[in-house]
Amino acid sequence: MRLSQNITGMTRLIWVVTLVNATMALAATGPTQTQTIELGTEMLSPRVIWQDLNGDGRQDIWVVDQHRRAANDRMWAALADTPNQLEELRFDPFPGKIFPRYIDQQFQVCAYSQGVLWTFANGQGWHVAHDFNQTDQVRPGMGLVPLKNDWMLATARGYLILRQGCVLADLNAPPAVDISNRRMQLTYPIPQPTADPNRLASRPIAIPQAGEIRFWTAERKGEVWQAAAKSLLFPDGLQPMRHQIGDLNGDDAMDLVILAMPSKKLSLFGELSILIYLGDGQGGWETNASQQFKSKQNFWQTGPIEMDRDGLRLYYYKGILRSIFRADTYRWNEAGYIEPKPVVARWTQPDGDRGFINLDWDLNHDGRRDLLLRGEDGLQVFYRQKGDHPFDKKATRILSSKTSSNSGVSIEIGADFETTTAIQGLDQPNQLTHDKAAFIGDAEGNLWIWRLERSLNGPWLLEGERQ
Amino acid sequence: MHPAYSRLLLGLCLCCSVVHAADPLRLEGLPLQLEWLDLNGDQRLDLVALLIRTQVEGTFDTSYEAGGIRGFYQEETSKEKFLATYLQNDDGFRAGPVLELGRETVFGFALEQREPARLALWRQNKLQLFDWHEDQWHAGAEQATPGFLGEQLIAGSDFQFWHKTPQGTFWLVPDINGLHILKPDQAFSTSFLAYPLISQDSVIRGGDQHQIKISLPRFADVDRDAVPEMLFENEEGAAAFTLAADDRTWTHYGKGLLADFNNDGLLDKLEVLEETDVDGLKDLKKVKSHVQILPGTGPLEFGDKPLADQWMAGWVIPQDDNGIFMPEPFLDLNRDGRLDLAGIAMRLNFWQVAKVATIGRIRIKFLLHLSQQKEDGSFQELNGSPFEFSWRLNIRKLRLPDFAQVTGDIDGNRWTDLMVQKDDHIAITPINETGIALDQTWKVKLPRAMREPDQVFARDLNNDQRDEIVVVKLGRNHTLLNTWEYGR
Repeated sequence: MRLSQNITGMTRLIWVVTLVNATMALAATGPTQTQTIELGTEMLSPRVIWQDLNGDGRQDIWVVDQHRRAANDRMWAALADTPNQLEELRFDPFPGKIFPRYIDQQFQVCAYSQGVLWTFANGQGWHVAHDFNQTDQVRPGMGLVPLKNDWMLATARGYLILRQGCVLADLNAPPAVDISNRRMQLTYPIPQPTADPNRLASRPIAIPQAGEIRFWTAERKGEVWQAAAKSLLFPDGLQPMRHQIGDLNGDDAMDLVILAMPSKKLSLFGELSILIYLGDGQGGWETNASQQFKSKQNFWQTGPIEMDRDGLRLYYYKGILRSIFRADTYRWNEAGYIEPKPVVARWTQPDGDRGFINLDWDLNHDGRRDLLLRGEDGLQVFYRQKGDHPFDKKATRILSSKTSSNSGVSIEIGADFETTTAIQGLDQPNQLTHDKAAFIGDAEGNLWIWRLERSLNGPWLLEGERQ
Repeated sequence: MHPAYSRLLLGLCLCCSVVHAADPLRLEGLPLQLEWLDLNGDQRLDLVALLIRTQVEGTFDTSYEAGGIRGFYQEETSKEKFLATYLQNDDGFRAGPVLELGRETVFGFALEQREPARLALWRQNKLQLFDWHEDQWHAGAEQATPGFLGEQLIAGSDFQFWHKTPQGTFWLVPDINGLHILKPDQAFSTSFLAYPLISQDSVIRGGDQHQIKISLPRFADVDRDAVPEMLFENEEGAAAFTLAADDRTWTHYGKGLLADFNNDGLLDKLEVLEETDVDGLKDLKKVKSHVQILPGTGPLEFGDKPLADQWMAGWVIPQDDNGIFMPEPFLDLNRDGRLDLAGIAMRLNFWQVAKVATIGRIRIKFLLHLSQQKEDGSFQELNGSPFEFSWRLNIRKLRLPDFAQVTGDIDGNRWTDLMVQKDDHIAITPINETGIALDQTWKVKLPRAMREPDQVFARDLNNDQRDEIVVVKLGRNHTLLNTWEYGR
């Protein structure tokens, strides 16, 4: 069927009305430090990936040329200590996923295909490092999933954690199964590192048919990971969309807030519901939501959620033609409930990039995380305030000297839930291709904004600016 | 008598004589699966329904604040599944036995026509068999679910897990590397079939999304022995396996849709060589597909001399382009054994996309071209085609109807008729030897409680060679099911 419009089904709906093209921002202000890494001239379309390859906790980089006409026999890698010493790794082309490892003080090219981990050595070519098909649990055709420096390989019951090609641990993380249209679809929880190194957690999986949400966590006891899955009941007629875990009522137990959209009668102007599940103090939550009320945001305009004992804060854009940034704060009332009427801070962010609301960085080093937004003026930081309004339009600084943004209204059903019906891929934040910007932290907790550009005399330049 | 008045009376009489509606059946839950089988041998299909009932209990709390009262509501929901049986008699359906299944996952159930009638209920960790006698289900053998599925969290399932063939009945259980094949009538003896390479098109979205998709088989007779084989298909080709343990397999690499067009027991292959594209809605009638059908010469083997090689109206190949699902194009319009073809022409314009985004649902129109297969294998478009079809799309369910869902032989003339579902009525356009009889379109008016129905389909419920129209309307925690029959 030919549909000239971009309309996709259960998974997502994107409707892009291009309003404004690329905008160039004004010059940056304030002290900055820059760093430039020269990539090869011969690269057509480099992709830079930040990853801790040697396990020292710092982000190393590796680069591949992702252009379809590029020769697929080269990769470049550099450690964080010596970012300018980009080492070229050559190998024979391989039909599978290629990635570097750092073993015995040197880089090595590896590949994974059909249950077999391969490594490349000069003179010897590709050879088998480990054949996981010998364990019957591994299904041929499954790929590797990165977990910090290690890799995970999916099995029927969860994952094998692999380090340097060897099985380090067995994680019990059973998939949710959906069988329809003559396909069996397995949705695995993806273990992700948490602030506690002995704890892994996954994004929740929503099972709308059963009215449940399932969380997966694992805790390390000695060398063994103990995994557990928790199920929460979810109201009829709602579908979870975003979630945040934090201590909302100050009892040191982690509480859970879920933003949900109507599962059946959906409209552009329909508002999301907020559900609050209080922590039970034992790592779980009450099975039912203790409070449920309507938020002010629509399903296609959502953003980060913050929660602490001061209340709940939702950040998002509103408006179709104008992009209006909003920060809604929901506070506790005297009756001991979250007050459903928020305190609202709002301002128009001209040509705001609705997909970009970042609260990960503390740029004035006052111990509180600030807000990054992108718009007509480039990348802006808004410093966190005391009082009812967390951010103020006036307490701002323009960070970036140049940021290009393809501004437009992008209407998108996105969810940070893995559901069996609504899936949306998120950009991996630690990858960079040209015309985008990557936000990478260094060991001192500073924010670096990296950009890839082709210089006038040929080579690609990876330019970083410390903010 | 005033002529207008007499016409009205005539119309009323005609309407009464054409359609007979039974009283709606109220199912006390929402349907997870509905199946029909004649349980008691009275030539009427009885209904077995796997239903879910939601119970909400609330607690209410008030507090005094700033001179007023604030109320806070907290609710607890529980969902329980149960299997209900409804027996059909002259007056409609009457409720039969109910099996309570609690909160556990239920894959589904299958009904098998034998003496006595058998029910296979797949609860997650076991399969239970029941026999029907004396208006009750009587529990029989049980078997634990083999492989990894017994322990997984199941989000949904519509897999045909139960197969009755001349070689016996089979229970199929998908596993991560293959299928367990169990024979319930031989003490659940088990064999294992590894998935063919053709089904191994796993998709992994690294990073945040990790999904693995495994193609499961459909069932079709590949080798002309009237016993269905398991047929795995994907974009690259197809592989067929016998259900019996004689290990015969066939593989075919190449694109195309497989179906037995000429009713010779072998699968033929349909390919679309070329398609026209059009700019706007006004040009939809010009949409054409160049269709070639290669005859099956053996199991998954195809000859070079096409059965048909011609341009046909509409887009024929089912596509999942941009999220709108198109159905498979095959249907047998006149029960002559030869498969006929349907083509679709549709396009959404900007305003329709905007509307579906704004209000969440939209009624779209598309052109349905129906072509009948003639004896020489070529296709001829029916008189009256294309038929302008109307269908309600939901933003969450961007799917055109299956042809089986919108067609049925309502009037019993062996030609399938077309059903168009509207908000307060169903319009039935008959098809006969002369083509699509648009001028003979008649309507079934839906009572108020059944308006904007959730599902409409046709099924011969009383073995009189005429399909009844079955209408399902979901309510809050209940389901209304109504049937209409032509000319009784």
